[in-house]
Amino acid sequence: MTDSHRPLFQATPLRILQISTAGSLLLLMALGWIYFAVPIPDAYWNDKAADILIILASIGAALAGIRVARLFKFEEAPWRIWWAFTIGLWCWLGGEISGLVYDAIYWDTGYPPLTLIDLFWILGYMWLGLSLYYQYRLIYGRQDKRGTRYYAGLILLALLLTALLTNLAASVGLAEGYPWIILFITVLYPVFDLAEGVGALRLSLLFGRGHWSRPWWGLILFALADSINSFYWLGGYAWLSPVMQTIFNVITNLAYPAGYLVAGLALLVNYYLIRDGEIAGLIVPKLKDHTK
Amino acid sequence: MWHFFTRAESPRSTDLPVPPELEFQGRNATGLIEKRTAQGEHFALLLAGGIPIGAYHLSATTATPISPSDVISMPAGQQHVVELPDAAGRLVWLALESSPKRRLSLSGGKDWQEKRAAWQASHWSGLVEILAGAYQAFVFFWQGDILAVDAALYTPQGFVAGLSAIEQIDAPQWEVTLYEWQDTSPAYQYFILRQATVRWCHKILRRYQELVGRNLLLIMDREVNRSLQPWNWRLELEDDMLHDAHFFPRLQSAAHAYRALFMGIGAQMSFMIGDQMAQRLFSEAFETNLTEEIAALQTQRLIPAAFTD
Repeated sequence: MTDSHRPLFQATPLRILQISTAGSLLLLMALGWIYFAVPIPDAYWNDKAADILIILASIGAALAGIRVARLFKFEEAPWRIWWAFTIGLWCWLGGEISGLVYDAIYWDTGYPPLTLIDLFWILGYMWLGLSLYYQYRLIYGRQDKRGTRYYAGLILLALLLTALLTNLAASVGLAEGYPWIILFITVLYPVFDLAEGVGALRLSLLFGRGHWSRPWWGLILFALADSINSFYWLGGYAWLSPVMQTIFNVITNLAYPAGYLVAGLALLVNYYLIRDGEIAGLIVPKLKDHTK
Repeated sequence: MWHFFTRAESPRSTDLPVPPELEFQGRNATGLIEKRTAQGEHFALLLAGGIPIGAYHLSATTATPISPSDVISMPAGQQHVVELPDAAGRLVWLALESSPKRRLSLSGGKDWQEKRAAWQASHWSGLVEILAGAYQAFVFFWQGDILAVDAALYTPQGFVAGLSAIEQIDAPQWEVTLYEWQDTSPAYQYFILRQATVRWCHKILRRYQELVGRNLLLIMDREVNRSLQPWNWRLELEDDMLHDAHFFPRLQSAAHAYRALFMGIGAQMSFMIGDQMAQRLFSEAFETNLTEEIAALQTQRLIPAAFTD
């Protein structure tokens, strides 16, 4: 091919990843601008602009998840890990879209007690938790014959703990006037966040600088963002100085979409590594000099 | 009568422009030279990749090590020169360094199958030589297992590797010799080191495949194989197996090659699953090796901590 016929853009994995990373950074900057500069005077549309950007990020992560999961055969252990992870991301995408729709309907009146958003979020937590469970089982419990029923037991335990915490919260007068189930769901999120955040953190420490750790970084960021929200909900906002409030606001508002972006980018890198191997141009292992 | 591969066609000494040991050396080839003096004494010289690694004074049942230079300088009365595949060379070396312990007569392949099944069931370790008509074979058993590469058969058409070839010997009568080795013999130490390496490597690769799937395992195989290419070792990763068809002339050379191999595996694995997890895979697999295997690997500093940060 002569120079005059050479395409201006060659979609190599490296180029695609560079563009995706740049796009992700731009998206985060745009979100920061929308949150803190409030460029659209109408609060509803300002909020929706942010929601749409977050939906874009979550679509990217969910699509990258599909790409990775499809590279494994059913009989391979990572198949179930990455399909569970991907389904979790799709559930959360469902939650994001539902949130947009509910806002359009209930912006002025407030949400009904139970929403589709909660259903999608909780399902998302369960699938992401399942992927964590499968990953841990693969690392630690190869000989363990306990199947997914054991995971169901863990979920049950989390629900019981949440019920206890809910009763405790109700007894100290938190969320007064709300039905018990609403309080229960509100408490359920930080319980799941904490469990999955710690699980993902431990995994990322286990996998260290390896590429296998990186999709889990997304879960850590979600947990971080949600922990701050839970802290606010418990009344923590009032305890913070204005400077700290701003710092916490920046973290919580940006860590959450960054969770999607980091998970999506990490999945995309893994997709190219698994699909193309060395020709993806992404493999730069530390080569040790073994000739000495 | 020659001891090894009697029917193999040996070039006459007058046809060789240079002595056979120089010929092997020039081509980095593995081979065996048997010499018989006018007094009827019988000697063997074994070369690995062109390098003399052992010389022996042969009797009907024993092989006494002597200096290779003694055999090289010996005037060739009659000589029998056979170029060997590396795998066969390694087995011949082990046979020369071992002593016959037991002889059996088998009536063909069916008897062999039964014996083999019994040895496998009892996790027997030893070297077996089979003489059957024009065929001569060596098979190395380790804890009842046989690596395909550790079975070499000489047929009138040449050497054939692999256990399946042995099962196709069509001679009715098989004379089988079981050899017993000395733990201190370099040939035995090399075999143990190699067995340990192959088995350890297999366990690491199998576990890595479990964690990351077959695609990434194959990518690692390709990368490691590529990194080993410049050395011209006949070492190759294929799926979750290490195929080692190289005859290293010294234990240290083998250890050096295996070190390079594990370094490559460690670097590739760390890239995907991180140093700590790679270390964990190396260690888990190492601990399941047999005591003799662990000792052989440790002696050469082939230990998990050496291959991951």
